[in-house]
Amino acid sequence: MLTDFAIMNRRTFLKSTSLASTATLMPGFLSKLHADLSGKRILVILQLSGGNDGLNTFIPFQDDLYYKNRPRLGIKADEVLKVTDSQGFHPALDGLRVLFDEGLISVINSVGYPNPDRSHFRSMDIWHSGRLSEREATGWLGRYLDHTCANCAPHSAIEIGQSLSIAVQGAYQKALVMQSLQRLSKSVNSKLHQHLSSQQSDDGNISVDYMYKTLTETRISAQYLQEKLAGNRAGTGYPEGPLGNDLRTVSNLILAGCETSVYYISLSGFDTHVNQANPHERLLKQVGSGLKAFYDDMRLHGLSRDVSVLCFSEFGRRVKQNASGGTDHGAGNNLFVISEHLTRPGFFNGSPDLRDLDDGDVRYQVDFRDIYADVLERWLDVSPHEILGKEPTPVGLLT
Amino acid sequence: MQPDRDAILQRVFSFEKDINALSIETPPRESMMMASVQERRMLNRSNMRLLRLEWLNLMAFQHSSDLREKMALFWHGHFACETIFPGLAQRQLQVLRTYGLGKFRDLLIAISKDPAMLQYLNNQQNRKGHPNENYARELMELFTISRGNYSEQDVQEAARAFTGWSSNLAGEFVFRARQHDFGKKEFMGRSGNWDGTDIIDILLEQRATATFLASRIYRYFVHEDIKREYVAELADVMRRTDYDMAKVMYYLFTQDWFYDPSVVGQRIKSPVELLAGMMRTAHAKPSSKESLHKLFAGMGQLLFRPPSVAGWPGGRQWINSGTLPIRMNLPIVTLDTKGTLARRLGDGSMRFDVPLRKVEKQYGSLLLQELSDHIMNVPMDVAKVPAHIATDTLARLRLLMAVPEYQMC
Repeated sequence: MLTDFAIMNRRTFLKSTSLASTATLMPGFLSKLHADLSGKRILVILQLSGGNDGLNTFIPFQDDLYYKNRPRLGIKADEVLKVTDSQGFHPALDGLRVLFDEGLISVINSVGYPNPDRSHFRSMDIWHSGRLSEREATGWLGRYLDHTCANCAPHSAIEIGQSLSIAVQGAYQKALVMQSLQRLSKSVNSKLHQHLSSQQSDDGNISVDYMYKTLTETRISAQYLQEKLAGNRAGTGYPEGPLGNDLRTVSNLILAGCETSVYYISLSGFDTHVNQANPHERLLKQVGSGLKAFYDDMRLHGLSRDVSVLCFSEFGRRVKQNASGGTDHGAGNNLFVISEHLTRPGFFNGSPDLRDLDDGDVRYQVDFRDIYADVLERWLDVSPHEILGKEPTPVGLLT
Repeated sequence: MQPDRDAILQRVFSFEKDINALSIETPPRESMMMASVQERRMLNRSNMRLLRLEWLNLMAFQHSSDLREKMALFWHGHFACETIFPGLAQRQLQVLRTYGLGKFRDLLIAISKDPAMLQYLNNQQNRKGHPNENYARELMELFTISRGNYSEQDVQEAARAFTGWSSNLAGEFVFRARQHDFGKKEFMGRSGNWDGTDIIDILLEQRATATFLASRIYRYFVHEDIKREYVAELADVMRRTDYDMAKVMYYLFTQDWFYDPSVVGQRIKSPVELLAGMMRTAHAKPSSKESLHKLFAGMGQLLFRPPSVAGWPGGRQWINSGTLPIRMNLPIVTLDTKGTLARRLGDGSMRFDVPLRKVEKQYGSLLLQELSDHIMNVPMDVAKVPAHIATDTLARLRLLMAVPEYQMC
């Protein structure tokens, strides 16, 4: 039964393209392989894990309270890359600054949610789930997949990481997660996997069937991605390090016409309680030059209109520096979006109010769920209420 | 051959009265204070991993306390909690192991006073005049009566009752009287100067608590899809025995519906269960806590690091493109005395120590189908597997443990 359907699609597939594939089972979704991808929108999420120090990322260099609270840690005014007369970029973000000057970046200040949770644990859950009280362990993008994909390929959304984040887990659909395509392929290519993959599981045990289905789909996705990555079209400007590699992989996949619409990647190390200055600078350098290289690739191949990037962190850090040369967990933070469809390029709202703090932390002014709502409605073209609930209202970030 | 059910129950329930504590040595506070922040962090991380290894070893090899460890694992998911401090984790684990098969009331009170839990749910910020509702809310929504059975006002009043329940730097429970709201509170229609213990008692009086807890037990031990009549039976037993968990579990294990074929072998093993089971069957011991850490992280179940306050969802959520290959490759990388298979998959450090002679003695004379019937919880025809690639007893075990069917229980 499954085999008949697969054979029919395989014949159709082979007829209409010169690509010959060696997969033994080819479910229907593969007929979308050669679909015209121009105009199809792609969302890339970059998560800065650990609580990025937003105040030292986009610096309010005119605010004397900033320097009063950070006598050692504050970025000196003459080093700040000034882009407006009140806020500027950390010097390591020169790559990003170029994009900013072209009107491709929107920075939103003071993003957070009511009753901020200073604990790592809860805050990341909240950002991932898109709800203030998550219980079902599903994420906002996972629910987006549930909503839009009845029978999508697992690689409709791809996460590059060690394990699948809640953000991209739905009740039914899940993103494909891999540390690298090489590892993914190797992990499902043994003789046993090949042998089992060609079996039909029909014992009537739904969970066992689900596992066999996942195995087969993973193998097929791995093969599909392998074929895409073989093109290796990405440019050379990517910084060394894990983020550079991940962004290059994403770029390669996009440039090869991969049908994935959501990519989720992360960079860790932002939990800078101790001796923040140098580590933070190194991380920001990766972020800035990585995203610049990525955007240049998209632009070079005429795809930049179709790709938007959202970069966030699960909370900010305290305004006052601590006694160990670092900063502690805070609340409100900034985030930024790279896109050609911004309503308000530049700083979306005013710099954080350092006079009116919430127990020493930046008070939130923009609810992060309103930003998610914007992305869902304006970029991904779905109703945000089905996914985030009734409250969130698109913040008006994208056109 | 039908196993003698009574004999097995006899063994399972005659666990040692003395609950051996886990043996992770946490350095005294003074020496910790002298170390740098980085050193402290690394030490904590290392000891957390050691704690996980120790508990896994208990689960796999301490036959005298099978049920206790299983219940503790269940409770760990129920009372989901995250901490990076091994001393606190060890303390909480001991609470779960000590009270896990006793009266639920004792367990609830002990957990409500547990420093790791209080910190995780911010109760040290819960003060008279400045309440923090986190603990009260989770106590009701996740631990006892569950959603729909209380009002927002109940949460607020309960929060007031738990004010002052805090901990000190030595990781001990401390009741801070000055922070406690001693005033009159209105909770679930009852009025009084309630404190945390009173709230717990009132919650235990509600039938909804028994029903919710019974449904959790059913989902964990029987099947994901609950059958209301059986859940109601379990709830009745709970209320009848004053929530005596050993009696509840004994009741569960003596019902025919527990053994019905429709519910046997329908549960996907959690990573911990999968690993512990493999270790027990193959008598295999992990050689390093670091490699174990990678396995747990990759499979999505790091103890004391639940994905959210709701714990680990379980069932099919254990399975995705990242976890399934690891689960299937688990026996291949761990039960490999030469390390070649592990290295081919990219990690030679995952090897477990396997007593080959013991394995040979126990399984060497069995046919493949007999071996499969012995270790699987669902029937499987060995014609399904490429048996020719397994040339010795250990290889046959590896092969069988690698198939999806092995992951069911």
